[in-house]
Amino acid sequence: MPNIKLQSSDGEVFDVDVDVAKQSITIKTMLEDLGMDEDDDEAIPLPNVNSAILGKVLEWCQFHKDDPPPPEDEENREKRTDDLCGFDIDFLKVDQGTLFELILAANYLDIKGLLDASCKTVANMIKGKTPEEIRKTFNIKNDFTPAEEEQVRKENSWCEEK
Amino acid sequence: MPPVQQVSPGSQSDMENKLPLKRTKDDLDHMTPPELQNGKRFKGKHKSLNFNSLPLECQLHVFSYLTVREKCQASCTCKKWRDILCSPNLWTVADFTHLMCCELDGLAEKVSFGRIRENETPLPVRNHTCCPTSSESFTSKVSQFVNFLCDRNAQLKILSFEFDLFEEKEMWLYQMNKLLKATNSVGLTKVFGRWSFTPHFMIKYYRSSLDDKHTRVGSFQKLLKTLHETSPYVQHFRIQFDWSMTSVELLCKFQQIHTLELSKYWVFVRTLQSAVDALLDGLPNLKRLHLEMISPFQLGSSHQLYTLRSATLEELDIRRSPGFFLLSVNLPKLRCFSSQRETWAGPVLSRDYLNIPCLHTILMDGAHNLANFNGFPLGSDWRTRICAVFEQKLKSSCYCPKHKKGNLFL
Repeated sequence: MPNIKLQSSDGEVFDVDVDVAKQSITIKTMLEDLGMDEDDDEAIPLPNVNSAILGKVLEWCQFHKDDPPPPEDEENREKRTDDLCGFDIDFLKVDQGTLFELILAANYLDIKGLLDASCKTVANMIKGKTPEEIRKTFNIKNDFTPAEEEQVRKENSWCEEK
Repeated sequence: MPPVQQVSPGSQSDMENKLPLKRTKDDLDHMTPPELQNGKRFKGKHKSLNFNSLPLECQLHVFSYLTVREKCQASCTCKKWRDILCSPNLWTVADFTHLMCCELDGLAEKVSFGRIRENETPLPVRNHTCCPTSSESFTSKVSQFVNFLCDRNAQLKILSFEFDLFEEKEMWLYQMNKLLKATNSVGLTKVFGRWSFTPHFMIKYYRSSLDDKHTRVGSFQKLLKTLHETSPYVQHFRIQFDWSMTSVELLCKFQQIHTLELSKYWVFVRTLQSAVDALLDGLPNLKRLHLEMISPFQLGSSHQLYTLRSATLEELDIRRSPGFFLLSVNLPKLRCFSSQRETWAGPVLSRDYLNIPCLHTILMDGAHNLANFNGFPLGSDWRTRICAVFEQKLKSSCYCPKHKKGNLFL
């Protein structure tokens, strides 16, 4: 299998199987549109991803390289978050900073599976929590005035159990 | 060879000599700094990101996995979250079937019509007593949910409801019309609706008369008209259907339909062949058709046998249609066919009265590309050679003398 080289923002070069790297639509498009030769020794620069995150991303791509393509109609499907595979659950057991870095990288590199999995992981950190618990989890400051807070609580209370 | 090889930035010349490719995994593990081996740490100069510094599209992506109730809760976190959670494209599902239960999850996809057969996903257990709420409260929740979605200019993609549209001077129809007109529902692609009964609404149990049953069809047709004005690109309907010519014509206005799951409205009312023809002829993109149609039984040659003709249909399921017998099909694209013989609950009759043709013959003549029968993948030679499993499947679905033992129609 031919390899390509990817260069992270901090200058590390990764030698990667083409099929693994092509799970990134961004890289796939670069290779196809720009006619980058697979035998080319020049590394593809990825200025938005540092080496630690790129290493993680490529580890994920390696594990998922034989996944079937996602179903077409997915956008209209009911969205689930309890369907992550065991590998993804363990893979995403990282600190919040890393998790958000992975979301950014997956978004930039256009790797749908990784973006979904990492966003689901964050969604699971929100689910079932009160606003106060959410603030604590994500270290967010409550910037509502008491009056505003009452207003927004009222607007959104219609679906509460009564 | 390890999947990902780490090469230090200084070793350009090594790379040109393709040396790194020859290294063994042990060499590489030895070379790779430990913090890069597990990837959990990243270089110190980078400040740790937080949720609010992610790009909007990523934040929306995360929020898109929350249920209605969770999105409402999360709106109270901070101003930024409240603003993001007002985005119209976070409100794509209007599911009124779960409004009374503890979870407002968009379960629409899992809810299906009619009886549940083996090998099908069972209906989610909807325990209407889990949160004892009054009818008034249900009415008010429906209206609040409609207003809430209108306020956010929701970009609806899925609408799911269970309302008797005729009930209480068409008050549910009024709510649905309001919802469709005051939200951005042009992108609506799926409509799941039972329109003859409101499960949560218990103000009174009135026995609906036959007149009511006729008038209710009018309410359904009004909804179809509004739907066509606001959301002409619906692709998938899972609805009760009355098979009147007016309803068929209204449904055929949705030219993008690829999936129809039509459940019964009338029981033992004969559906005209011309209505079936008009529907199949009128939908140029129809790929999947699931029918629940309980046909009345008539003696001898007066019993309706149906012909199905479509240039596009790929999947046909008539398992829920007792008394819906096929005479012939012309379905050149059909890949999957499902049918099941019903235990006959009507009068004891000799089968000779009916003369129902053999399914195998019907399919052999009119569905050359069939590849799956009742979930069983057929070999390419299914038309000439019937294997044991196929034969078994035919015996449980075909009414012809060869596949159904005994002369009594039971």
